[in-house]
Amino acid sequence: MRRFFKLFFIALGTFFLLLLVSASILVWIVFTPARLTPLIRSQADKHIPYLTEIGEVELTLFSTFPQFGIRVNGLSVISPGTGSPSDTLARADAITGVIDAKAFWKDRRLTICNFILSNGSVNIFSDSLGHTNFGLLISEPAGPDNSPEREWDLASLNNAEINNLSFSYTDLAAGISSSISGLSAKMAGDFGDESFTGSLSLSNAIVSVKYGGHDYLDNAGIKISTPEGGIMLKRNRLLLKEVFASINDLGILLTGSVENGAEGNGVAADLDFRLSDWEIGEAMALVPPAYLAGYGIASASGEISSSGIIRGVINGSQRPFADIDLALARGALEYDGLPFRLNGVNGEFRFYFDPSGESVSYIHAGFFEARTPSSRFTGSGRLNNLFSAMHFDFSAGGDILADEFVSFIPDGIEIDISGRVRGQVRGGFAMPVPPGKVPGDMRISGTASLSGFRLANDSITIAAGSAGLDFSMPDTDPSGVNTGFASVKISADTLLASKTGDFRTFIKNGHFYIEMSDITDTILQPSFFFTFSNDSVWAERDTMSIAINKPLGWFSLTPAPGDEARQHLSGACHGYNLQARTGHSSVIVEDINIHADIINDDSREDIFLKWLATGVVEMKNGSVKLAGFPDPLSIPSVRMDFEPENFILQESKFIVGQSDFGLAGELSNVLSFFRGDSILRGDFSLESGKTDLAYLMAISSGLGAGTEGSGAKPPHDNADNPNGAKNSNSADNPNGAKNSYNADNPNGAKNSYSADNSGNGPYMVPLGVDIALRTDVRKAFFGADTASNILGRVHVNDGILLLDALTFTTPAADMQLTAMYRTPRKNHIYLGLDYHLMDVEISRLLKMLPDLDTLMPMLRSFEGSGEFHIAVETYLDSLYNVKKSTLRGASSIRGQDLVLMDGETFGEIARTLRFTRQAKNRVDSLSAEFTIFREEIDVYPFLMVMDRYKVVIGGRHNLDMSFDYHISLVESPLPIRMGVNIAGNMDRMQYQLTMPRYAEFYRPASRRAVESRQLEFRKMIREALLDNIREQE
Amino acid sequence: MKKLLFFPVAAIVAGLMLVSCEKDEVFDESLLVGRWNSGTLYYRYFANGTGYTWDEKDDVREDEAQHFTWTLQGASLTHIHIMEIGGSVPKYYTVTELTSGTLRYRDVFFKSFSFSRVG
Repeated sequence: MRRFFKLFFIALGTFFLLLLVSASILVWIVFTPARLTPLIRSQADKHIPYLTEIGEVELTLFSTFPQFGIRVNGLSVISPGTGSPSDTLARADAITGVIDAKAFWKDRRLTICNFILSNGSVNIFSDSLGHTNFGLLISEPAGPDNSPEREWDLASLNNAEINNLSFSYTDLAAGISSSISGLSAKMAGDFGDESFTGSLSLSNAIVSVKYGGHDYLDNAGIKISTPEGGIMLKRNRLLLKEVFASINDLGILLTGSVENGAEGNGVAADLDFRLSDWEIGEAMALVPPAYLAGYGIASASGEISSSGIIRGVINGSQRPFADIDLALARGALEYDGLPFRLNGVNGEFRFYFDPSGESVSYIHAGFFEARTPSSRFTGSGRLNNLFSAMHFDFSAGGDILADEFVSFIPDGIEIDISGRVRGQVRGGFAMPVPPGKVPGDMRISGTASLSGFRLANDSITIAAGSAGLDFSMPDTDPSGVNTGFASVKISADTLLASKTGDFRTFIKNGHFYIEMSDITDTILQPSFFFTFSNDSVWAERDTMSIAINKPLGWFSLTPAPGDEARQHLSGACHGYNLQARTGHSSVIVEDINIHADIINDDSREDIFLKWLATGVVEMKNGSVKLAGFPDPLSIPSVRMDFEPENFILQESKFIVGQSDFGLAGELSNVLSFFRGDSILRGDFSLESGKTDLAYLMAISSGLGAGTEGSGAKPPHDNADNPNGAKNSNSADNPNGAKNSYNADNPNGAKNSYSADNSGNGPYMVPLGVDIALRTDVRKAFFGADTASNILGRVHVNDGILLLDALTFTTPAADMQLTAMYRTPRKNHIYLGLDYHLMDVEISRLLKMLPDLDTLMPMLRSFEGSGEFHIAVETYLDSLYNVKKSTLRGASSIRGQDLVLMDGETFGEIARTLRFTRQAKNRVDSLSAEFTIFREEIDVYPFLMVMDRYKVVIGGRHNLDMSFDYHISLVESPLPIRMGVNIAGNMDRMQYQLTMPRYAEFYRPASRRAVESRQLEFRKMIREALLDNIREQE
Repeated sequence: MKKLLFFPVAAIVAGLMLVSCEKDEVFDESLLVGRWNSGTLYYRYFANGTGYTWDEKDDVREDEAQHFTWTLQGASLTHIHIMEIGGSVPKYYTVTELTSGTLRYRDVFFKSFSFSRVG
């Protein structure tokens, strides 16, 4: 056996030796470089249209064992005269090629066993006119293709290596300049029917690409590793299997195929890819700086990983299926528009495109988060139906320090913002969003909490200590039909709003809830629903302030039922301890409750017609303190129902000083009145237990005069203001009424009141109103005087103010007063008085009616009680001066057991008639009537019995205080009858004894016609006056 | 002495005669109907016994005049001025002349009034 092996190895060695010798002969003797090089050079000159330089060609065996190979050393292809910086089109230090000669010889199959190119370069150049340095290589010869048909097949490439190849491509016309240096590659595979499958490895390629003046790649390291792949030339299809490619170590793993020209002109892709941990900064470095300059990205870092599938045809009309995941980790960004650096940027995204079912295509952000130095954001979202009806759903959260975002406020808006906001928002809406419109199918909801929040500009400040915010759009449980668009709930432990030098508002424990309709809808009327509940609200502006505890209420604005073109406002408010103050005036209400429904009609201009209100106002234990008024006006209770046509004052009670009032009643036809369809009617009752008239007159004196401090003080307070009420109705403002009539528009009560309170002109009674006030005052004080049981009606009726049969009782008398004030025009004002006093003290009568002394001066000479009736009327001018030509009056006086005082007139008479001198002279009876007509006061002859005399007195008194009286002595101790004429005036009185003019006046049998007529007139006057007396209700 | 008594007696007789003459005078009340003017003062009498008066001196217009009723019996002219507030003011005059163009009367205090017809 050993022998066998010995012989076998000897034979084998001999064989290899012979083989080696034969090969050496071939290599070094037969196919020497000296013989091969010219052969190859001639072939190169024949097939390469450019000058070719070949240093040496040799046959290799040992370096390519066991195959023979050919190595070409020092190959250069020269393409001169093209403007290229280098005239070398291609160059290689060495090119070695090894083929399987046996296979080629036996099967006519070319197997490239090895191909190695070392230290080569390729220089492609095209000048600005398109002239290239390689054009002859690609130019086709004219005429038919006479090249012989190839008689062998390309079978396989066992190994191809390129070591240190440089590549340069310059296209001046296209502005492209690119280069590859240090390229090393390995490739192996099998050739098929116009296909190649195998492996490719490319490493150490440094690539630079410059295009259009921009560096797209600048010395980028390119690596490609294809363990298994292929190319199908017939279908322009590239097969990739776990291909790893990288640029500057940013690698991507690809598996699949790419086919150009599939299904038309598209590119059919079937690719899986994966990239891991791309450093964003490095990836961005691949982007030309010019493209990044506009984004203001100062720096970016982080890692991007992605994987996905792309399948389908890509062309202008077709999109491939794609399912791509993208992850962002540990990102950071410095951006010119951000005053801070974003850190901790992490996110996961998925892009899913399915052209076969576009409705399921989406972009999904699983989560996203980022941090600023003091704030944090999180979010997730999904954009569905990418290629049809897109819809975006999202969820976002934040923990934001507002101070960080001040710089986002546009220049020119000086706003300072601070505080912390934490919140979460989720929602969705349809896309695209119409410009200026609310996105369709929008729903968004969220919560937010604010702490130490403060927003301020140079004048306005809004601050909240700790506040919460909940909002939802749409509102899933709206209170109204139309308010489901959105809702907001706000809660704040403290809420402050102020404007420097203007107002300040403070709310404690405020809770607000707002629902609304789509306010961007210009067709439908907007709808709101608003509720509030606070512990307290306080506000002040200038000298005004208001505060209220526990305000609770709601407010809604909706289209009016049945007429959606109009707005319906509704609201209610309840609160405790309302305190309002302006200057030295204040209002305090312990309990206030308001409910109102208001219909808006924008077609009307008048505010009463524009806002038709229905509701209730209730107030308890209120107090109003007005500047200049020493005592507050207490309001124990007020309750008023109101609706467009009727205001019903159910109950109201007022107390001021010692006076108390209760007012109730109804104002009707309000809306009709303002429409001009009807007169305004009112029926009220005023009740009072006590009324201090002097006090009320004192405190109301001067109202409307407008001069600070002019308001008179009440009697007990007048020591400091000796003028008292002198400012009340000055000559410049005789009315003193706020509601002065506008003379330019004396008609139409709607605008009957002048907007200003200048007080020019008299008080004009409104037209078109009919308001009655039934009074029931049990006791009224006027200084030391007291009136009780004041009953009657005050009536304002279409330009007439009427005190209708006001009856009252004073210590002096039972009285009844009817007064009429009518204002047909500004300079023609009617004033009528009908005054009845029963059993009145004459001295008190003159005190109450001082003007009576002018009308009947003799009354001052009597003392005692009687009854007094007077009716008088006149017209006044605009300054309330009496128009004497219109003065009319009639009066009747009855007295029993009167005492004649030592008056001036009767003193003279007594001396003339030699009355017995007694301390007081009794007048048994007095019955007199007098009339006033223009300036004439006619005293009808009346009988007076005094002392031992009976006299009849009659005459005329004029308003200029001149008089013409006659006294007839009808019974006396004297045996004669006589009379006295008294004429002149009080300064120059003339007496004349004469015949008694009224000697037969009280003797019916002897009475003459004139005397009878005078008695008839007296009777008529008295009866007419007594007819005016009404039975007390 | 006779001369001394003559003048008083003549005066009394003349006065008595004058009074008796006035009593007998009768004026046609239809002449009173119409519009009468004295300065700024106006009266208007209607045939139904009503009338009104106004004085332009006080910026009173005719449509703002105050109403009265009137009677003329012989020479006795009575105005009953009606007050809106209630009550009436009678005025009694003695007509001394009433023609189609002139109206004169006086009151019991011998205050005379003279009017001209203006319509």
